[in-house]
Amino acid sequence: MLQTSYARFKYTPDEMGEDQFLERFVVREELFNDIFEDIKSSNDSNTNQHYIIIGQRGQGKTTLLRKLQIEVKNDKELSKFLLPVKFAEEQYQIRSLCRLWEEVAEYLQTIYEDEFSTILDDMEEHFDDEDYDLQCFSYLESVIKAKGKKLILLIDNVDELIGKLNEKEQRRLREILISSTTFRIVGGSTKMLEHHHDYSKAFYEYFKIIKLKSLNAKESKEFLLSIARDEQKEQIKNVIENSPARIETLRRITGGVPRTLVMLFDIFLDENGNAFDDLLKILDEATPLYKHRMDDLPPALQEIVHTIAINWDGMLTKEIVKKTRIESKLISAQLKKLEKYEIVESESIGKNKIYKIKERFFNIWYLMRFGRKKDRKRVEWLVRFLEAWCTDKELEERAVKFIGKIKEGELKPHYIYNMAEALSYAGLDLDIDISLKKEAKNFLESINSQYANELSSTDAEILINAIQATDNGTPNDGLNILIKSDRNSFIINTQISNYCLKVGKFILAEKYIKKILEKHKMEVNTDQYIVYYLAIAKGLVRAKQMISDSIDDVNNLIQASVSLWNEEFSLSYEKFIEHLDRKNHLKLEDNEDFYLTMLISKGQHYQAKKFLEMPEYQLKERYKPIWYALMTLMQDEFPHEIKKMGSELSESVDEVLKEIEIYKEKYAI
Amino acid sequence: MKHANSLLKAHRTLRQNPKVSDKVSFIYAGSIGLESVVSKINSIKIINDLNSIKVLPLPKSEAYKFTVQLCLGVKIKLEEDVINYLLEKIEWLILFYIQLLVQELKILSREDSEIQLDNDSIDTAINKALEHRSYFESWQTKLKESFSKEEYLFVKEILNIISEDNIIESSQIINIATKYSLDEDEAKDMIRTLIYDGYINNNENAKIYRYNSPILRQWWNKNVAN
Repeated sequence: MLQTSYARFKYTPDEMGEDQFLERFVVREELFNDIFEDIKSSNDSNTNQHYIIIGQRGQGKTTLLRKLQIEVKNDKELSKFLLPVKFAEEQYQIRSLCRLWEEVAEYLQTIYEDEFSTILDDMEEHFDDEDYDLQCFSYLESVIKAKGKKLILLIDNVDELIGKLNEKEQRRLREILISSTTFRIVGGSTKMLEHHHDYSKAFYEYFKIIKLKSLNAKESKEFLLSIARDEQKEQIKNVIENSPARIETLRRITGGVPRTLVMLFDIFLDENGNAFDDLLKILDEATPLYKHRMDDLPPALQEIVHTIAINWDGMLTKEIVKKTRIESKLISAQLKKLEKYEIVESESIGKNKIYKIKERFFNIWYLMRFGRKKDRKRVEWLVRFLEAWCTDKELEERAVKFIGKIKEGELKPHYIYNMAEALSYAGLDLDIDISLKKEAKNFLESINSQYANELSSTDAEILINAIQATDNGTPNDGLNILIKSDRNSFIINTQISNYCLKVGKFILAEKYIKKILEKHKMEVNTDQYIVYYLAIAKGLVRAKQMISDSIDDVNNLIQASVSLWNEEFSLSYEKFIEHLDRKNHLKLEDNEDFYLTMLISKGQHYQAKKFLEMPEYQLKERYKPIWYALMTLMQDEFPHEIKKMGSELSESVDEVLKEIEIYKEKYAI
Repeated sequence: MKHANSLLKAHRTLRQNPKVSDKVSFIYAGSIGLESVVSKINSIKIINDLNSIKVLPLPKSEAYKFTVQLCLGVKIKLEEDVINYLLEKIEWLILFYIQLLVQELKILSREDSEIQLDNDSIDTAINKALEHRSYFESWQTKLKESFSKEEYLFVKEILNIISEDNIIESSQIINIATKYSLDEDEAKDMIRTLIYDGYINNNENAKIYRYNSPILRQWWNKNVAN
């Protein structure tokens, strides 16, 4: 079924029918009213206030300009004397100030033919005058004044236009802006480019700057409702009422930029891949601009942008340092620059800052162009959206339908590749995942598409790899494979949480157990439940109860940890020793760091020292950072021990010390 | 231990001999709790015929009356709010401390017959009292006598910490116990003894222990901990 979606107009609001356009203008109303009121209340004696609307691509600059154009035209009073002049978005032909005025004249002659039937022709008569450059504006202005009219120039990408003018012309334009009562300019600009035009900064002072911010939660809801077709309205209302978190996820993925919001929403609704084509088209269009943006940056900044963009999610400074291996002293200055250029933005989380690419659309573009093959990040934006908007069952239904469409041969290769990857990463039933990948691969191969080789492994293949790695090595090897795979299906999450329990990584296990409970809505076993309570440090009583009610033996390390949490020290030590003995006996690989850290956080320094020093278990060797963290805390008593620490350990030791402080509060009873 | 056992048994035989018990009542007094000592040598059943009476500190109103009477006896005059300040400072209102401080106040007024005894005088009296090692030393020596070396070092460290920090948390106690190779139960037993014998209490919060007497805390801090 073909859909008439809003998608067709999301890049070119000017092409949408006027009534439809007005009906859908539901956000940014206050900004519009501010400008419109100012226009209405202006009089002849004062010069006009000029505006520049600044916002990322897709924030709604063109839309706001169109709204002004329509409302001015429809206003009974204003329309008597005020004529809106709105150029197409790109004005390559305007390279000088005179060309601008000529364009205005041409526009008037074409659009307002009755009143200005000869205006351009009249001006052309003066083309050969020596002082034409100086006079062309006067000719234009005098004709307009003679008709008792005024103009409102609605210029998209006004910064580009200003950038093309030479200094003299800029001064002249400035004069006009200050003195003429005939013109008012309302421009749109992506501020991103401002740093290219430092020389024109002074110009901006003559404009009132209106910044288009990202839509907030409420605006996002209103906006989605306004763009939905009638039959979708109920569905969206339903989502807004029952799962507002979905809207919030969508808003976050898109950075609250209306156009990106529509785009993603369309891809979700459209099962034929048309919306996806639109996305690729706009990505292609944006390529020169984005490429330019990257090329203009010095190599060090490029590397930082690359690192953050590839990660999609926000990154802490120290994570960026680790990935780029640029010194942390240098990084913060660089990040500040990138923030100033509005390429990245930061959010403070406690003492730390998290950096991400400000324009999410740029980030999508970057990942689709430069994301590693067979890496989830390449389709992360789509995965997130699918995860947030679909239950496991809905995902599977979608996948099954999608497989059918592939078989019918109706879909384009890029859509097949991206959607198959996204669905697979969002988490499917094992069998559906296998047949999805199979069908996609078969089809892509049949048309010799390079995408055939870029499809990632199936969940089943990954599971088999993990099990083999565990058989040949330890559960930790299997665990690493599964975590690296970035999969999200029930079976993979279950296997990860099992491995985590086996190797004592309780805190890590929590994330996956939570997914099993909340995302997949499946039950977990006693051990998993207890570890879940342990990791979130809630439900101590329940955890204790489950241990005593359990028919099967609960893992000793889990029991030791719960007892320690409850400050039943003797019992906890007994269980911990049992665990260590069993582990020695069976040659298992476990992680005792959680237990030892909690032990120290409970103030049991001597016991921790005792465990770590027991020769039969060799914990001191294995947990050097914990040992030196302990020795830091006990340095009054053992001042020499800490001196033996190698400097390479100091960072890890500090982390353990921080963790101990966190645990003190987290596991207080 | 053998002697202790036979002594306890001999006493029990005496107490239960009708010829004796008709004419003699046995009253044992001691500051170290007899029960906790006896239970350690597993002989608690030998004294299960004894009725134990705890002599508790005085309630505030009685302590007040007692102080007034003592002052009359030694011919010094304390205003009502000064007495209240004195009792506040003592906090753990056992007779001994009240007597001790009234005695110090008497010495103050004897040294300066013009003196008007006020809150400052109370503070001075407390500091003077703390200088008498003999008044307090038994708090320390009786621990030395009744505990093994490791146990003594354990309780001493606990009391040192409380004298410094005002309080100790139970988890901290377990940590110190590990240091002296005592297990949780042994440590808890010893803490119970300290409570029973009037050193510390955990009345306000079961997991937090503090001195009963601020005066003992100050003395311990000055003379044992440092």
